[in-house]
Amino acid sequence: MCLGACVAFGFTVFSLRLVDLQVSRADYYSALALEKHSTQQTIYARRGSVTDVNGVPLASNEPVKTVVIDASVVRHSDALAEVLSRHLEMPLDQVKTRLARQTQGPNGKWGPSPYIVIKKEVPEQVAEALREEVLKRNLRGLVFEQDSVRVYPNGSMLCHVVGFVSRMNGGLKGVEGVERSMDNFLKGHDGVRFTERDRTGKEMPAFRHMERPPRDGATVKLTVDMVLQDIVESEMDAAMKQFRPKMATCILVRPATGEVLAMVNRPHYNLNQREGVPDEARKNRAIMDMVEPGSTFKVVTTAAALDLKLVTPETSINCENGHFSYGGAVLHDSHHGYGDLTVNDILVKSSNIGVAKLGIKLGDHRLYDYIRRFGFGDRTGIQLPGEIGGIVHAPRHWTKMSITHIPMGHEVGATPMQVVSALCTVANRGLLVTPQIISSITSSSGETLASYPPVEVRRVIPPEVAEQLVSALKEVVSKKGTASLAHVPGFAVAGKTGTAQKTSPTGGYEHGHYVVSFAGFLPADKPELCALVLMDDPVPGSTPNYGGYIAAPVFSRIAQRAARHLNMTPNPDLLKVAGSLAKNEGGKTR
Amino acid sequence: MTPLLRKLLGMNWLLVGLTILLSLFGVVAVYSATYFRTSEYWEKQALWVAGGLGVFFAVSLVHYRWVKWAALPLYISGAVLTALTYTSLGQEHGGAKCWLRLPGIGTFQPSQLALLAGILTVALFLSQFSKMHPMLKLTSVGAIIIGPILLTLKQPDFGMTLVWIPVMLATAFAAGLPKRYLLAILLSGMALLPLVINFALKPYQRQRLVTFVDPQIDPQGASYAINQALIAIGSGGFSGKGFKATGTQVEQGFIPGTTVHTDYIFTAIGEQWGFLGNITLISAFAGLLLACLYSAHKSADNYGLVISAGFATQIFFHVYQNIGMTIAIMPITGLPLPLISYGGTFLLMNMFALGLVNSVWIHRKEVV
Repeated sequence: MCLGACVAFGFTVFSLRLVDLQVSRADYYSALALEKHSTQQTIYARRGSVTDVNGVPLASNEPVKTVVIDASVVRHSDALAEVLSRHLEMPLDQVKTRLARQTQGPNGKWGPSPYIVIKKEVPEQVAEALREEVLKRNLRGLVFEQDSVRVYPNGSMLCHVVGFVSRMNGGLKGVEGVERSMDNFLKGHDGVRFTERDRTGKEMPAFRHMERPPRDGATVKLTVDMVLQDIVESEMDAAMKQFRPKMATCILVRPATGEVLAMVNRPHYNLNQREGVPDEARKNRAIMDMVEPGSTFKVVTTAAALDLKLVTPETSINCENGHFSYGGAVLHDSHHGYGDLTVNDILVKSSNIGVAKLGIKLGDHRLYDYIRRFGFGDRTGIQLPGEIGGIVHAPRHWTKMSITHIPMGHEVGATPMQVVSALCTVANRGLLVTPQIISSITSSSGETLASYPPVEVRRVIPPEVAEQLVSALKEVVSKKGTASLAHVPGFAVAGKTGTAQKTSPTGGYEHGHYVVSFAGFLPADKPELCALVLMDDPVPGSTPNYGGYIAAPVFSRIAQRAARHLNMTPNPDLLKVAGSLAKNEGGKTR
Repeated sequence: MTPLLRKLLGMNWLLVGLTILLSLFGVVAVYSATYFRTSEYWEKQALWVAGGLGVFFAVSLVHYRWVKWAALPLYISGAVLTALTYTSLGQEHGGAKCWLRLPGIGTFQPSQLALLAGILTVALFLSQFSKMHPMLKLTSVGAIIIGPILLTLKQPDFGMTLVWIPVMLATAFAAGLPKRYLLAILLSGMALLPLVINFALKPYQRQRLVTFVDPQIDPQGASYAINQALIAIGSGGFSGKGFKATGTQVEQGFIPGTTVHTDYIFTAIGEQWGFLGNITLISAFAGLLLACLYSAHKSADNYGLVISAGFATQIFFHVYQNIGMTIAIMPITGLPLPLISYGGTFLLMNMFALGLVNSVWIHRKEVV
């Protein structure tokens, strides 16, 4: 009887406890059971692609797999290690070491890790072959995770503009170029998946219940036209071969809108093989490098003098026969001395003395004012990271000789982009337009998120003054001027050469080392294309080391091919004249 | 009517029915707790149940007095085999070296045999020397059981050791020892409890007591198991998630796969069949135990009474401790659920014991 009472009592206690657990508090425990194994998992958004103006992909994603092993279900570890090592081309020892990893489970016990990453970024074909063999041999524990790598189909082309990404916290982050400046658009928004997992952390897809889908990154369309880029790349490669400059830059811009059509820097690198690339090669010199612009800068000085009506294009200036003493130093003209030159001819002949005298006429403050108005000393505002503003010293820091040096583009640090931008201002008949490299941004659902209409910064000079400059610059690219080799058959070209002695790191200038350049636009009367070709320290061989002989022909070749691609209508009259010109002088430079 | 037919018809049908139902349900439960990983367990369990039921009926039909002859040999072999677990034949399982691997036979748990033999021997002793002074009886019983107890305790199989206490108290009670002696033992045992907890228990055992008192302590560590068991059973709710329901805590492995079909089988049952299933199961056990006690009550002699009561207590304590720990009314101590949990030794022992109880019932009218 007593024992029976014990049984009755004991089981009554059970019943009461079970009522408590399973009836009164069932909801509480059910909620706990759900919470216990539903976890948040980030679904990474696909990074948006970068395309050129015609939609040619410049940066896109290639699907790859991450090979993961759940060691808690692996039965034939050695066989699995062998298969993995063979397919993934990894040393067997390394695979075995990884497979042997132990982790502490939630119950505190050490056991085989349920999540071991064996290899990342495995190509789809390799993963597929691996999957097949593992299935065939009935090995367990292999899991593939979807991932993607950023690929750059064009390799080194446009590398400095496109830039690249690096992996951070599981996602991709833009490090350089458009990948960096447009990172916010490209990266998209990661989604969240609430999944139920069992104790080993294995996902149970049947219990997927809530999901916030990821928003993929937007497509960034550049203004760059890859056909033009290809033209410029090939011509620059040829120039690099011929003149072996330390560095070179070429920028193509549509002056009216500021759209950058091509941007090439040398040295460059392959975006897909970045290991061991020196910093020098990664630098986008077009916006990050400062050079003394040299004679191309004379356009700015002349524009200022004309605008302030200090001179007219016909005003005669005494050029001192090539020797001008000012401020205790002697200024030379490069080719030979000139007597009296008109303001027009000072540009055409690129007279240092003539332009220095214009500078003196302007005085420090007015010259400085016009330099700044042309955009020097400020970032142009192009949508690329790392742009610098260059250096334009304020007049109070000038030396006595500055007023003779600055007018011809010395003592001034400018980026190639600034030089192009300044010349575009002349091409635009006095209107400074912000250069832009992004055309539009389209979301993954096809909606336009942003477009970039031309941005007018300011009117620098009135159209009449610009017109006067253009006619002088047209003469530069004639038999009479310094850049006759820059002519383009069928088009009136306006432009200016630049030949700046290189500054020495120890102070002063280096003899025999130059930065040569040519900046020009065409057709001169209704410009559709503006370009700068700049080479740092070329080895000219038999060619005279001047912008007019080294940079100008490159410009000419690029402009010819670009004009054809852009369907620019040539002027038939100019075609004949130019044709004979090309025949006569073609041999000189090539 | 032949004697055999009379025996067959004279069985304790409640006992027989519940034994069959419970052991078959055990196969189902083991299946439901492990089918998603392996079919090895439930298939083996089914074989053992078949063999066990054979043993049950065979023992039922034999007069229980014959087992008196087996008591001493069983007692000695139980003790020897338990001692053998300390040799290289012993096999460790869950931290305790309480399994014995016998070449050609397989593994089994000798402490179970020792307990069964202990009950038989003590019952034999108490029924044979009923005129002895109670104090002397208690001392002798103590002398009989101290050997197997110490051997079991040292393995260390704390749960199996604990079972001896209520079983022996009940056996002594059933044998008619004065209640004051038993009460004295009970009280002094309780008085010793704090000392035992402080000095005799291993750190992990003390921790189990702490987590029993407060399961919210360290839910990812020490009290992980008990919390997971509570979540599984509690989330089963009134009618359960259903047989082979997907996404159960058990299927997802929150209850460790090494014990879910043995000591934690009740979590799988509780989660799948809910409160209704649990109450049914507990009622079945209650019915089984009452059948045993009724057999004891109706026993023809003292020996039948004592062994029936002893076995009933043994089963009761196992059920109480096993279910109790998964619903946090007992501290965690690994004891299997009789007839349900996976495990051959324990199932065969229980079948043997229940067969004896049935035999006590069948032969209740035959006076020796």
